[in-house]
Amino acid sequence: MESRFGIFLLKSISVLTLLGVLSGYSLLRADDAPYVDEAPYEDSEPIIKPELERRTINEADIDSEDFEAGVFVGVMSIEDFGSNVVYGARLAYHLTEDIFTEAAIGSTKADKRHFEDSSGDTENLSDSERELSYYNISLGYNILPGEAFIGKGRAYNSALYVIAGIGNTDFADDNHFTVNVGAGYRLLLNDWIALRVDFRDHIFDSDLQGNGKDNTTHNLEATGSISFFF
Amino acid sequence: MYLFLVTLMLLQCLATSTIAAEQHYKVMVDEAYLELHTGPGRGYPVFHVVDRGMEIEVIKRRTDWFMVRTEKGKEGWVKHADMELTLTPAGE
Repeated sequence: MESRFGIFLLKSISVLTLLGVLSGYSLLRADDAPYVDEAPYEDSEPIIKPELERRTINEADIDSEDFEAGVFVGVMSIEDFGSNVVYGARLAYHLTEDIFTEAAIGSTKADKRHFEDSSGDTENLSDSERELSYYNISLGYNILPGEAFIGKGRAYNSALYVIAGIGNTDFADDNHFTVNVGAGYRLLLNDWIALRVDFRDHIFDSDLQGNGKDNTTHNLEATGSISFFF
Repeated sequence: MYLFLVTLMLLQCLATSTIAAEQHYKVMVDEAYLELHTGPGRGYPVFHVVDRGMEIEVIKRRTDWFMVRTEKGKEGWVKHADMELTLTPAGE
């Protein structure tokens, strides 16, 4: 009786052990084996390509040319003191395609006054007092941008601009607050060299008229210049 | 004297801008077409059109305009807003 029970126990243990081993093995197989259907698609391209995103340019890497610097020469008429050669320099910064700011310095010399010539009075301005120099800051607006055609096969970019600003004029040992207004024409020879013609009225109050009072004087200037964008 | 200094300054600026111009950014047109203007402004006429998929080199920038060069060597100006519709070679 006892031996029967012992045999039954042994059989049960061996069957259970076999079942355990088989189930463990099948689980291991399941872990190892990849999903068979997925394999062929691993290296193939997706059927629908994703929409490519648009992007902004990395603008810091691009050389920007918003500054324009140049030298000018021309004629300036100082009210009551005749006309003389004026020369100077300008530096502009183009804020947008329409608007630019500009700083300028210029220098010229005054002739004798009209009555000094005719009356024979002694001159009341020394040579150093006849030196006129000015500086100003202005705001310009490009109007009528377009092309200028020279000959049959050449077209140059050009623009008219209006400009106005404030500054200082040093004349006759005195500083005068000065307002300037004017207009000009810019012709671009290529993408970085420009030729400019500029007409400007420098307006300031002066007591040099001989009547002891401050009078508003208009000092007209016409200049031509070459400038470079950088 | 100051005229001399200004001239010197100008020459220096020109030299630096020439050096900087050596490295150009390349992008690809991703719109139906890209319009090239003769100058950096809306008043300057469109003289050339670049098709989708063509590569362009970005030479320089002035205000909101970019000067670009096409594969065929045409140079023109493109608006900032239009440049945003281009791709880098990486497709970004």
